Amino acid sequence: MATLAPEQEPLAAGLSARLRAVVGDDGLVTQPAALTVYESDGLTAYRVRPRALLLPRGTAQVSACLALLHEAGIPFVARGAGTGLSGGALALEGAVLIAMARMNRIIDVDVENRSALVEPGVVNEHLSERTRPLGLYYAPDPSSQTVCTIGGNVAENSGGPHCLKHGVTLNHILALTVVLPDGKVLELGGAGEQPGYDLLGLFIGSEGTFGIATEVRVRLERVPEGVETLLALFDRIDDASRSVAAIIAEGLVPAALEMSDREAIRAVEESVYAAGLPTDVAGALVIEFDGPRAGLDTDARRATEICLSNGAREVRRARDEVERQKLWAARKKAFGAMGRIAPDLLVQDAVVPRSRLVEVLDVVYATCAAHGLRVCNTFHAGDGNLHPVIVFDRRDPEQVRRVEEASREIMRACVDAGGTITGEHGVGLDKREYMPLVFGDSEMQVMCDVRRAWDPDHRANPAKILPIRVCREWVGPATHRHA
Amino acid sequence: MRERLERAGGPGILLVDTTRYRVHDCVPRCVAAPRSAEEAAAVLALCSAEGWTVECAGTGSHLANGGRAPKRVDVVITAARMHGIAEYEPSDMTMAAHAGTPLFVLQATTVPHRQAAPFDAPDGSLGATIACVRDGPLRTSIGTPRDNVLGLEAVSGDGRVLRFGGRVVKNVAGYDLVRLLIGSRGTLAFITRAHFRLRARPSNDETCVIAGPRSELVSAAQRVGVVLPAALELMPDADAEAWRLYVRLRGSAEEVRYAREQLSALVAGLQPIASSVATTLWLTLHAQESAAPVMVRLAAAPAHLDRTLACALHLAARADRITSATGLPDGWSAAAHANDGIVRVWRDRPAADQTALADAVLRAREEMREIGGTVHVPTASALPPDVVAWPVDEISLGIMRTLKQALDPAGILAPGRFVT
Repeated sequence: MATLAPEQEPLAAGLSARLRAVVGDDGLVTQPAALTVYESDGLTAYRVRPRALLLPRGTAQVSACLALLHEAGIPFVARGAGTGLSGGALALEGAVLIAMARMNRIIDVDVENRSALVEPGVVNEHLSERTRPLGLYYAPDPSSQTVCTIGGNVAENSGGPHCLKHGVTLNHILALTVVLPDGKVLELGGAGEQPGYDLLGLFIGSEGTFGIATEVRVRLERVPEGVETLLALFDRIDDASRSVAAIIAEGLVPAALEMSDREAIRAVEESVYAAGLPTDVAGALVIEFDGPRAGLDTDARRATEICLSNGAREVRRARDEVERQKLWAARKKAFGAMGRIAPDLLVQDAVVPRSRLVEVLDVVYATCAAHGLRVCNTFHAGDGNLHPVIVFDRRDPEQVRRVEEASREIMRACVDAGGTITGEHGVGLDKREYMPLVFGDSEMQVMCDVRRAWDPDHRANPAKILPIRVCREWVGPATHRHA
Repeated sequence: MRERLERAGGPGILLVDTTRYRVHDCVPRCVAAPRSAEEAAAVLALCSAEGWTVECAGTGSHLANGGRAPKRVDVVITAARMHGIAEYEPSDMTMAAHAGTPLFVLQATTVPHRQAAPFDAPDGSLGATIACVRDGPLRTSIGTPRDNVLGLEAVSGDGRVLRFGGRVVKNVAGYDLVRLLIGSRGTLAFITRAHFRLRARPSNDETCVIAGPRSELVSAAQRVGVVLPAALELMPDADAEAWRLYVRLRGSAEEVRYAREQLSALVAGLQPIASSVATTLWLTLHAQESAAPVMVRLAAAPAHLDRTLACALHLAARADRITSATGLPDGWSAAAHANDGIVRVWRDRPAADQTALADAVLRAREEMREIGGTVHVPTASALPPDVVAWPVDEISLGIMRTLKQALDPAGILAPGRFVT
């Protein structure tokens, strides 16, 4: 599972000097000790120390850097906050890492048009904090929103709990300024209607393999007039799953519909995030409605009835924001709390049709039990987006093998149920080998060709998304070719 | 050609009535109506090998969309025989249907489950709706096909059956080829099947109207956005002296009543419209727009709506060489999706003077550029050949050409549309 970092060939002195001339002396980092910080992203099982790190400011600097790397035939990888969970920000094949940390300005907030122009390094939640007093917010809210960046969200087409009603990153990006791998600058989208092919839609979620977004115009939504939040507690996990399908079938559109199982709730209650939830329940649903005040109460009542008639032990309703945050704790703090349980976590991201949740969750539990593994589930039930978290210790190779086997079996079951391998974390390095589960040779070939349209030399985030054997010619630029 | 197509696609694959599928005035030499993606693949592989040009069709009502009159059309491939619902699981709130399925069938199937297919058009096939990314006034609440299509099965120009996306509502596996194919107007692949999300069918649907001068209604439109209307459409009366702002509210009885109360507090002079009148209004608007031989779309940020509208009116006047224009010339109409900053201006008969229309479009493009807006002409054939209907910058064009090459290496699908 872990990838060893080969000794990186340092950048040629001449190139370093030219890059320094662009980004300043403090904008190029080459000391191995300093680069160690950047050797992995949120998926810590993979580690590769980048060859060098660039910290540009603004589109012009990114463009100049990429033009120089293009000339030298050196690959590159853009990095936001490094919270990604698929190894997407790893600098493989001798790539130079380009961190967006210094490009973190909110350039403008256009209240009239409900949009904002930001640099890619802006932290997701900071944007909403800035715009909320103006009655607007940025809707996509990945669990890591307190640290993850808008640029990373664009690369991964990130989701989050509230995507059920409000849509994913794709639905909230109006325009991008993009630097292509040869340094050329391109505008995608815009205030008007873009003619021709939807290059903006294609770029979003391309995981840094087409180029680097250097400015992002996002669509903001009006802060909803009201919010109703429910927590439904179940003695049987199947009843919770059935309630999810019933709520959707009823035509209710919750802003969020999230599930946590017993293990996840226990982890939270045993941690500093404890919210006073009973630890003997089999599962809990957080159900949230937002929008104009009218109808919210009716929706909340209907959802409560559905849960109770599907066997909920109890349904709690938040009376104020403090209570609301407590109800959310069971979901939002689960990942953090699980970090206490074991040295390593493997988070999956498969999606299944919502009507198949009951059977797929059964498979998840049975598979982990069969492999003697502990699993917690805390996920976007309303979207059918599972996040089984397998806890393990990567120092034990036998355990690692069992984790990998269970993981593969779960993934296959999800695909067999009509699902897919990733809903919001991206393919990156981690799920590259699962791509043949959902795509045939023709689709994979088309994707290779699509990639080539943007990055003919395969220097943008090399060795990600597509299994290497698919693009036979794709083995990195000549100077860094592996055997 | 006929024999070879029959041999490739199976006996009976060709339709006799080729005139129904004429592209502008050009009657295709053959019309192939495959019954499956595999049959379509055999037809397209043969056409690629032979260099026969192909236009993709659903039921044949949108063949003029986005393209110029072709010099010749060898083959039209139609999804007319690929219809019906493929998968429908109400508790997933998703559906899959074959590309030739008429939109009304999707709606009729979902009604008993109080769900609705998210396409705001009364007619046409599913495939054409996606390929032409057709939208309507409801786009402000339900979005366009770009927001609602989850997965596509399509056959590339060289006859490969491709499946991208899927039936689940969140999916980031691999590149988003679904977004690429939406709106590609039959230039990259022939869409054979689609998975899409459904929406809850609202129990109540009301339309109110306010009449007044344009600038007042533009500012009213900005104020009423807070009630989250299902549609917000601004239209001129026949002489464009007076304007009307239509506010459509959809939801439960309680939600609609609440929105109406809020509206009354925000703007004066709001009048409810009888539901039969409203239904006719929305249907007529769709019908007029799809039938228009001249259609121009102007778009900019919503705060620039007044300027965008002014620009649209000037465009119509210049196209008809009228100088003292306050209103719309005879035969022209206009409507704005006020929340989205999109204005359509159309003529119910062919352009009186192509050169004047072209000048008007180019002038409008310059004016709109000042506010970051765009002007394009979905009825490309209304323009003289030297005027670009879909202006694209050089770098984007290079990328688009490579994408076209990837999916249609022989360049047989609608040659000349978008990328030449």
